[in-house]
Amino acid sequence: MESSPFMQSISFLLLLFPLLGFLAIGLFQKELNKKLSGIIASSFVFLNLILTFILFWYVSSTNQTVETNLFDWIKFANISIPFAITVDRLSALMLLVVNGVGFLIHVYSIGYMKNDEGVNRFFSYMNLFIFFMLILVLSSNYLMLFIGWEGVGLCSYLLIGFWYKDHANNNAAKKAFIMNRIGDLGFLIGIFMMFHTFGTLNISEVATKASVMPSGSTALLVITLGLFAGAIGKSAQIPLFTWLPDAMAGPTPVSALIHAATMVTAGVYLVARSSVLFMLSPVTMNLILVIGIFTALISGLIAIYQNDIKKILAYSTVSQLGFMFMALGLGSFSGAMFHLTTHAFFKALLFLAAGSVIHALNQEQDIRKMGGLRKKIPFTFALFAIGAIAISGIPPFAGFFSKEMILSVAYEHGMGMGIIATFISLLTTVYMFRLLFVAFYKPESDAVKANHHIHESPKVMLIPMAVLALLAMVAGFVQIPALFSTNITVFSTYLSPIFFAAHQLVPASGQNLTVLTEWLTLLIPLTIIAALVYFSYIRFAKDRVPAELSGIQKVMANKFYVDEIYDFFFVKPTEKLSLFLRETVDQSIINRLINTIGNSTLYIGGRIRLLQTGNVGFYLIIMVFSIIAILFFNLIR
Amino acid sequence: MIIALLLILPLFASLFLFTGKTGQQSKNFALLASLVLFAISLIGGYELIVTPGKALFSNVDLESIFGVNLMFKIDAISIIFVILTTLLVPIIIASTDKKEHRTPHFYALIMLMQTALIGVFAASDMILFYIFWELSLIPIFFITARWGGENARKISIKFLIYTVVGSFFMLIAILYLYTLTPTPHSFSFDSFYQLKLSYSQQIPLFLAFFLAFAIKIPLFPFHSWQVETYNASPVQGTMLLAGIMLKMGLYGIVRFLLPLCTDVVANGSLIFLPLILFGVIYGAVIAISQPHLKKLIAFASLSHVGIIALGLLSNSRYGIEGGILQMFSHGVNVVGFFLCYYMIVKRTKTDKISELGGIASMAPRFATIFMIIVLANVALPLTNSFVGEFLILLGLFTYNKILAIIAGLTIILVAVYMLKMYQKIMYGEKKASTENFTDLTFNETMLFVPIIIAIFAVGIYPSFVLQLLQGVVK
Amino acid sequence: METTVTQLQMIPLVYYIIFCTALFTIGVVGVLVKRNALAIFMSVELMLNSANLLLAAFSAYRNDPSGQVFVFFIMVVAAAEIAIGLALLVVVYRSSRTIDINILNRLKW
Repeated sequence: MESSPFMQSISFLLLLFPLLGFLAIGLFQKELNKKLSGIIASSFVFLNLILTFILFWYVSSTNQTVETNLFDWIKFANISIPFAITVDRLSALMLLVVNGVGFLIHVYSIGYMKNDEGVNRFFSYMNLFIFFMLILVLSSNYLMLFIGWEGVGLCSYLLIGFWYKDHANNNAAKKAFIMNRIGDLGFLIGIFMMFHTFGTLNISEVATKASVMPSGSTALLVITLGLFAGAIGKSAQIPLFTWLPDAMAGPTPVSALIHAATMVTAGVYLVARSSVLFMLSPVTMNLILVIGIFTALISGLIAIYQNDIKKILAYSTVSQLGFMFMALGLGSFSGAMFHLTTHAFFKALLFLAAGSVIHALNQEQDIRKMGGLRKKIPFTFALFAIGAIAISGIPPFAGFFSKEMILSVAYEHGMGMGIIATFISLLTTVYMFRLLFVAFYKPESDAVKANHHIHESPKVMLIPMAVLALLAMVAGFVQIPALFSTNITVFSTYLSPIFFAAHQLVPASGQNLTVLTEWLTLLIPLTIIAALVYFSYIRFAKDRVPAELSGIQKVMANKFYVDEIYDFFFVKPTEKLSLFLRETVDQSIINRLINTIGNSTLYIGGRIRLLQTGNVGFYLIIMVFSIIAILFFNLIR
Repeated sequence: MIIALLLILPLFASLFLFTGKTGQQSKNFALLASLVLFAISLIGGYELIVTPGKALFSNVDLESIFGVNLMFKIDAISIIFVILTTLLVPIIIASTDKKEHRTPHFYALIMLMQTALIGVFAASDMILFYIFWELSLIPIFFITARWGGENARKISIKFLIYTVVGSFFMLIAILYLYTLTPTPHSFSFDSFYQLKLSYSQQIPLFLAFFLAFAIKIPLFPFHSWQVETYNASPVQGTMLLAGIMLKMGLYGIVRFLLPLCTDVVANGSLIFLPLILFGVIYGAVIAISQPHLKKLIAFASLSHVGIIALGLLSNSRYGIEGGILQMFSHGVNVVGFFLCYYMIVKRTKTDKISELGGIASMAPRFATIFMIIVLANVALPLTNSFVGEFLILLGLFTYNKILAIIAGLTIILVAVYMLKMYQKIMYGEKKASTENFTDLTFNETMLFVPIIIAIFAVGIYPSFVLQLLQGVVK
Repeated sequence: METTVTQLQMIPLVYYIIFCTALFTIGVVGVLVKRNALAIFMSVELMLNSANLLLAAFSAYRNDPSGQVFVFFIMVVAAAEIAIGLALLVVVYRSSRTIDINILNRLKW
């Protein structure tokens, strides 16, 4: 089926615009007016957004995929890896998220970064990020996906370390890049194994070829484990999750765009993209499930005891990503994608609102030094509250619907799994409302009282937030739980062609719950949420001195000492090894050995030289005895 | 014709430059000559691209006079290295600074070096190959000894003896091969390729060649000349060494080890690949804690060329083609890296990483260029190294999965030491030595332009190199 | 001529060998113990001549004249060598006023 040339050129333009934006702003950094760069960058993304709508309309109405082959990237012998882009329903959805949220955040950044001297650099990186993210989303083969994958990692590195004068930022950036690289190695190995097994890297061809393989074969296990390792790195799952909270060192719009809405969800996208492969590898699926649950639990617990507003949100992101992976592990690909989408809206909103708070308080991020902001910056407060409600899964906001979609799958899988999933989603309520009450309700802290410059953010920042808030409120209605109505399943219907092949492979095994149970699993958590909100209000909104942390709380507040453990087991030994190899092995052994060979030659020469005494009598004696010896040896031989 | 020009032009330029008067004039002349050479080599490359599988020949028949036949042949593999040489030499020549006061002899030696390097890559006869191989030592020895830093003489002598010991083994291997050729004996490559060597003949050949190349490349544990020589040599000498000269060893692997010792390469890989792999990790780990920038580049280079050797000896097409592509990329990247080093040292007079910092805020243009070169070294996709490393690791993976996974660790380690180095030098607050760091001048920027073009051209469209090789790699 | 050979052959060959060995040994010992360069030269000549004598003797016993031809060669070469050697000695003596080999030891390491 030939794709229409018009759609093809549109999908190509999608890549071209952000690249142009990057080059235009990047190359003329010095010359460009600082006010202009944000407008240029935003308008390129805006153009992309329009194109995205066209493409989205096209693929959702015709159920066709748009394939465009740009040029052959690597081609010789039996390798053929073209630079080709594919727009299908899944990538169109991601396009909407990336370009939509991306555009809003670009606009927001115009206000947020206004007074920064590196604003041109900032926007060039942002456009570069969009470019690589689109490559990631649009690629039709895994190696090209890997380009985008590493490319967004680079942009993340550049943007986390955006304020590079402070080495703390740079260390965070470096950490992010290196941890991602660890995952990338897994990704590469997965790609190698894939090529080795199937002889191609084309995503759809791989899926076709894999679907006839027996479930649980070793090759598929290696491939999926490799890909999942990549996803772990990029989506900050256990054991590679510690980079994401550190990544909050970057400017807040970056945290919103890269580290909440788009890049970190790439892991989820990758697994969903390779749904056929993963479905055929039950071991990996179980691993994903376990890792997802543990990540969601642990980071949710850590989030409760953090005091930095952005760190709380970061751990919340890790936790939500864990939740998505749990959904993937349960086989609910569309559930994960739905939560990914809604999460992009409300988490971006929360970050932007947090940015607005930070902006208002002159870069203050510690929530203990906030309080009473409800009255000082009411709009921001309202927007933040919408985000908090949405993420906590309180109806009728978007989070409720997406979480409900995952929870129902979990309950179908088994009552135990359902309770675990519910518990995870309840954690969200605790840390989000703690944050909300401490920052906005609690009586004003001294720092806030002393600060007379607290001001509401400009419109250029508020309007994008308002749009996101609107989305966070209504986006859920496209997929209503079966309990209320069986007709409105726009989202899963939209994605069903993508995951059709994967779901065909494994027969649906979940038991159907009775209507009563379903109501109970819906209502009990909601009641608990209500209770939790109330208790949080009592506990945190009043002016009470926080109790001393003790025992397990301390461990949670210190993030389970994961950083320290890694430092002890990986970083320090590597440095020691490096020093040992450099000083001992290289200098004292190898180099000395070589030098010893040279020096001993000199030394032996120097010694043998002394035989040349100059005494003729000595020479003569040696000569005579040597002759006698030679003759004698000839005689006895 | 092209080959003759490629050899004679730099030789005469070199001889002419020995009589030169002022350094500046000589520099201009040498630059002009090397640019002309670059153009000529591009013409050669174009001819090979339009007719795939073609090779340029040149035969100087001196049979009647000296009893030898000078045979030159440039095929697709050779032309890559010839172009690498002619691309980098102008950059190297242009990089000398006015303040450094180089005499005309300096440029004459560089041109002589270029003659020797092109000769090595173009020779199609073992004796010629050997002569050029050894000839290349002479100019680099004098460049290091005469214009080098601390202890330069001692170190250059060590370097000379060390590499000559290696070539000595190669000479033995060449003579051994010569005796095996059917009468009348011949030194030409073709007659060697036609030999059907038994396994027991291949083993000593392999060992002798491998030792020679391992010292030249250098591979662990024969690398101890490298760091010292890089460190002592003036930066132009280091660029010649790291960018082009060590490719001679890898080129030797492609030319001799692979076609002649096929069985040993096929069967014995599990013995020497782990050794090379150890060297790869070894270099990368040392680079993490290396306090001097120039030595860091040396160890990084040790690690990178080790990967190339892994690919070449991995017994798979992907590995070999990736290796050849990566040789080109490495040459470009390492020269770019040394140029960055030179820009820093020129301004701050130190290459101790701990004494540098905060350059990015004062020199944004330099910071961008340096970042691109660092990323190319890290093998980020769309830069030149990625395709090469990907193919090498893929080749290695098809040969042995465990080795490939261990080799893959370098993509993590390379990120560790490169980013650590870049962060400490470029980011943070400025230090005393970087107080007055000025951004690149126009001339200095122009030095980087061809390098950056090469980085992205090969990264985005490597197919033309790969397809060029298609007919040659068997 | 015939008679000389016959006369020579009358003495048993072993006598010649013993005599020449003794002569050679005297030469060797002379070379080793003497410090005067001139005396060493003379001892060397003694060794040469003992070898010559032995050659001549064997030549007579085997009726093979080539041995005697060799003897002439050796004598000629030895004369030439002595001429150069003595000339050197004279030069050395002029410059250092001695021909004691233990003093002439400056040509070392």
